[in-house]
Amino acid sequence: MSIKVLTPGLLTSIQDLGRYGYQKYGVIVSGGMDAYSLRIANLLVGNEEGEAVIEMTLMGPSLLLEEDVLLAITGGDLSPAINGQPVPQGRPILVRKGSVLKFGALKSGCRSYLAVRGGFDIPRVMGSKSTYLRAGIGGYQGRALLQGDILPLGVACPLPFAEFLKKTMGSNSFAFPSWYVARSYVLQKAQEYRVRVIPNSQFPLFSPDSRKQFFREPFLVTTQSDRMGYRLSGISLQLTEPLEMISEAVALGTIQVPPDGNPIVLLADRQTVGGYPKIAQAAGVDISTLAQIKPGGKIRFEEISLAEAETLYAAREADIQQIRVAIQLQLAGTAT
Amino acid sequence: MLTFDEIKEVIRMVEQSSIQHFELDQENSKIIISKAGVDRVQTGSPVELEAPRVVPAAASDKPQAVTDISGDPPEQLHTIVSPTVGTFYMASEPGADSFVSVGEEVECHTIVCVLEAMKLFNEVVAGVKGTIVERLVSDGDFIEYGQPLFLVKSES
Amino acid sequence: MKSMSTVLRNNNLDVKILPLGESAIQIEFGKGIDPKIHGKVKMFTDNLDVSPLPGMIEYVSAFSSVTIFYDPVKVREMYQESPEGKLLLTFEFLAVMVREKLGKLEYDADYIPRIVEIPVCYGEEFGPDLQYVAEYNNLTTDEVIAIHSNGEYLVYMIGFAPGFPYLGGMSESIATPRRKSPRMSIPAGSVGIAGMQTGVYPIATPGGWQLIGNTPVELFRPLDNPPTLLQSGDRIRFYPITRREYEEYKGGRS
Repeated sequence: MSIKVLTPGLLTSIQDLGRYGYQKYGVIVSGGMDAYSLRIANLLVGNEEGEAVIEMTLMGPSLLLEEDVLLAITGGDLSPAINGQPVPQGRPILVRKGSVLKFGALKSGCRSYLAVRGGFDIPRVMGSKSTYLRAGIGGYQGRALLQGDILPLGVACPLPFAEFLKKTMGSNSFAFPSWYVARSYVLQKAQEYRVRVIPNSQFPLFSPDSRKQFFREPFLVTTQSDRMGYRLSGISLQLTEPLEMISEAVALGTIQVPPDGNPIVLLADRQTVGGYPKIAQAAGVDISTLAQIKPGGKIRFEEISLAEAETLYAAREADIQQIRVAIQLQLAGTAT
Repeated sequence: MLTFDEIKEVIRMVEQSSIQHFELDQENSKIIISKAGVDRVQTGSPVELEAPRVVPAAASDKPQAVTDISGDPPEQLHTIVSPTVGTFYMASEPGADSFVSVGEEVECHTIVCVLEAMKLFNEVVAGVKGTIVERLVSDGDFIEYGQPLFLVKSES
Repeated sequence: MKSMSTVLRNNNLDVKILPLGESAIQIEFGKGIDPKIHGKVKMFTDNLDVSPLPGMIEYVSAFSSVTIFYDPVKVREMYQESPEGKLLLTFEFLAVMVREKLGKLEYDADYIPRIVEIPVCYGEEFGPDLQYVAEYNNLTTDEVIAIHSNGEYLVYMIGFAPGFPYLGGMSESIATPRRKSPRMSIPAGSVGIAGMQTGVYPIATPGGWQLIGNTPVELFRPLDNPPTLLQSGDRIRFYPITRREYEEYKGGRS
């Protein structure tokens, strides 16, 4: 049971929900940039939501499926096609052995996720299968995927639903159902992406102008943005007076401001600590949106309170639980 | 193992859906929900919510969710009815083009709308070859099981 | 500034408790780099190791603060069942629990820090900047080595890279500014000086530190638990070894 990498794409790596419990040793969390899409992809094939998946960026890979595989694709739209025929996202797809899954032009978003039934059979390092690129650990041999890599698949009980799809596949190379999960949370059609933020305790240390403009002016995601963080450009943010900072912990979505005044939003591969002033903290529910903004995209920050962020977070988790149950119902319900 | 709340949720969702019989076998627990006494003939709709489409969808796809409400519309008009409960959407996501519009020709397998139920979107296909004559519901409407969605003038 | 009204203080320890988004809470034990403040940090994290807060995922300790990452859903479930009901923010509920924990903390006078000795081969190709550090401080290279290996250093925190220690306690007499042009890659095990700080690189990384030597000891051990040689609160000493000892050490490991 395996998948062979024919062409690797731009930055394609194995990621799960991240490596927790080791930040105090300086080990970064890593994990999928768009955790929402990662979780949904896993749920669609009946996996635990935190199983390892393939994350691809801007330009996707070409993969040879060496077995019949039940898979799901979520997140940004990289024009997935099987043996040349376009396939939709957000659904379980049963694909026949020997098929080629090829990702093409980027139509929307920035990152796409591929989950397979049973996940990938690779060792966990410090409890996680996520690739920690800089330290060269986790994932597939601690690195991004390369041509010729053979990814072993995990073993899982066959889903009745997959059996059902197989019966309907006939002579075609794949089959999928008429239901799907929409991408509404991660993709916005607007010119500017709205990202909700909670002002940090150091927010009042910024100049009145900077504080006002932070919410008024759009920021551009520069090409120096990567899995570690998004470097933004726009108005230059300044402190009222110089601040003596010593390093302290940062979090997913922390927006820190180095002396050049250009904010950086810290993402999956962020360091565990940072020594720059923090202006704000992106709401947890908008991290997946951020992950789908490609370089050149524009962000506008919108202030919310901590209470609002907490409510949004709880509501999002409740939504995901509802989706989980609904998918489970579909995957199990067709048995009869 | 599902929690009590999740079981309640499952029961609620099965109740609201068109599913007649549901079984979930998990680790050391099994849930069977069967709807007794549901009058399947009531709507006369051959419900095939779970029927997967084979792609490329063949023209021989069984008609989904189609019924003749004889006597009501003129004979050559077919009504596409809802195979499930859910919220009616004309496009796959906000801002996207509508699946179909009035005056457009459809094949049996043409997707005419999606219905959102429990955060999942279910595609509804025309189930008949013809021309869309009228849309009977609006974007965002909550749709009942068996509710008429479109009138289609069929080619014969 | 709605969220800023939630700053809580503990009178005994003069502790500030702040939110860092909806999934993290930061506890500040003071300002600055000071062994006394760090002692409180260590005392608190030792307690967290034994009795973690409900819903806690992990913590990161720094010079003068501890940040706890938590699962807001789990915490919320817990406090909705509590008498406080739905009045509090999840953060406020946790802050109350942190304050209770701090109130019960007792300073352990018998606490003995771990002492870790790290062998270093100074100079040669391992320490291309040793000569510069000596010249900058009007010392001989032997004097630099003697000063560096005579100190006892406190591991304030681990960060920047896996297993990288932020050390305090270096003698001012060997302080040297960073290199003007950073190196593209500093080999793992490099021992360097940057300003008033000294440190060891656990993995190869770009950097501007003045390199004075290299240790054959692995600071990052991804397959071990814990995965690093050093931990916050450790005391470390460097001791010089010859090139031959260095090679024997390396040879013995493989």
